[in-house]
Amino acid sequence: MTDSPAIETRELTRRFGSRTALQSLALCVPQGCIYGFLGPNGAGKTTTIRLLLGLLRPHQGSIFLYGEPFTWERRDLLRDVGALVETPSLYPHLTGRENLDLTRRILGLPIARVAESLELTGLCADAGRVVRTYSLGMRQRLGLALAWLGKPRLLILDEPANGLDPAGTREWRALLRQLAKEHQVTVFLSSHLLSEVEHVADHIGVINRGQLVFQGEIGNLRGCQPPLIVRVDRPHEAAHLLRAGGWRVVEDSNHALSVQAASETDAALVNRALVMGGIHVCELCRQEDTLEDLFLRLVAQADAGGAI
Amino acid sequence: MSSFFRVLTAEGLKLRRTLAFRLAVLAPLFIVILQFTIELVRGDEESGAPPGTNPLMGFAQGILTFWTIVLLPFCAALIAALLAALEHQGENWKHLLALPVPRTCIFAAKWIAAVGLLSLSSAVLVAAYCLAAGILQAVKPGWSAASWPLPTIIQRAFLGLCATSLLLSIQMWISLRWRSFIPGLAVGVVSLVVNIIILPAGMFAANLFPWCLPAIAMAPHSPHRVLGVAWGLLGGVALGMIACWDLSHQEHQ
Repeated sequence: MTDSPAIETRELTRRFGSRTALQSLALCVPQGCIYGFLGPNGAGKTTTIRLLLGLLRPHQGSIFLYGEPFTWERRDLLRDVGALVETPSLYPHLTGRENLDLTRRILGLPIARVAESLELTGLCADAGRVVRTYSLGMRQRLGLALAWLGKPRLLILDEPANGLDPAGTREWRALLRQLAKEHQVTVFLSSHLLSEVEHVADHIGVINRGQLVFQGEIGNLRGCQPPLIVRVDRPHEAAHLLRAGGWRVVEDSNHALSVQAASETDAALVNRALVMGGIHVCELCRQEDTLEDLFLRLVAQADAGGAI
Repeated sequence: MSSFFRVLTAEGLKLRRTLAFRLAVLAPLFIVILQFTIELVRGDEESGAPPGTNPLMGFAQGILTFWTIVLLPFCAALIAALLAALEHQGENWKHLLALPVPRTCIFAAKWIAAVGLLSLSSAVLVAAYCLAAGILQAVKPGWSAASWPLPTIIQRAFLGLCATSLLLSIQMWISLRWRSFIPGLAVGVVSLVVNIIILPAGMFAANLFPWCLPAIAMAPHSPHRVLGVAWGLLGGVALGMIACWDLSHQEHQ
């Protein structure tokens, strides 16, 4: 039981009328990781989260939280889960402290938990102000404090950095890292801000049109060797030459070619073939893909019907 | 049960600084001040009550009539809508319903909070009546010998409150089910108009129409008073339970 994934879904399917929002989703979120759940708008991220929190019922499939089957009737399992779904659910006429106290009362927690959550999120000084006077960043932090109040083993955060400025986003990153590192919390972080996930997540899942198109460690995703970028004086001729040699080449703009060359030896062979063919090689490098590039490539491949 | 009480204390905290709480206090004050002003303007010897009757009872009757026919049903509609709006406006359901407590507790606590606010209104009504009646006795020599009908007032206010349960359950169900403020208020206002039409007409249907029940329960000589209170109270509790069951089985999209 202790090795069970924090979240596991099997064949999870959900429809809205005739539209299938999720199709046989098989998530596996290991314990203690920060799992970035990526997907374009309308891909099914929020539907997945609402299913994980018991706000929606699945039409097919099952959900396991720490190895225990989670159903509509097993709400007690949510004791281990803290959530922030899109905008934080706050009462603007109450102070920050009162908002936390409200959830504390429902969960039957000691009063000290309020101060701990306020301290973690750096809101102690503003805790006595009514929430309607809070900035967006402060509201997001209070939302995290609410999610963290019961010291859950699993935090589910849906687009938590939405609308935050760069400083606020950086604060968020630091907070999430702190939670994961110091408290061994599993964080399930849904976002369309790819750079945001890239900076904090160690595992990612990519969803597109209700289907999971990639799941695993970021390192594995990067393990797919990025193409070799070759800048030459005569790109068209160079492309023709390399294709004749059996290389897969895509002509890029700006006199550059993108060549599928897996190893460093391959890179040397490409260079030699070009030089021997009388092409001047101005630059030869392997451009590291950002997560955004990988994400867009995965989504494009999934849209084209390719399996990852 | 402990979950329910925990949710209930949270509901109590939520009411701080809300319009619903202010309304519960100000609405009965408004009707008492209005009636008090009328009695003051009438002068020393005049009274709204028929000759030979207790002027303090007449003063109370004026307050209770307006309260039960108009303000109490309208307050119930507004309080239900305002309490539901607390959750609808901030999309707070997604947080509340994802907490590890039975959903029926969340909705039952909301219903009890509404009953609590209407009880507060009734208490404020009785307290404000006492204050106003005391002042009237002091300033109107003709009223100084009148006996205080306090037990009668408390009994009628309590019965009216019990009979309000059914209409409150209807209003709560509508307000919690739909995000918009409009369905709840529309039902409240239309039913209030129907109430004002059918109640004076003496139609038997008025004894079953939820919005007429508070007035029937407070009317001292109504032959259907017991029926009105029982129907209002038991119907309200039964409908409240059905509403809690229905709402707790709803998905939150």
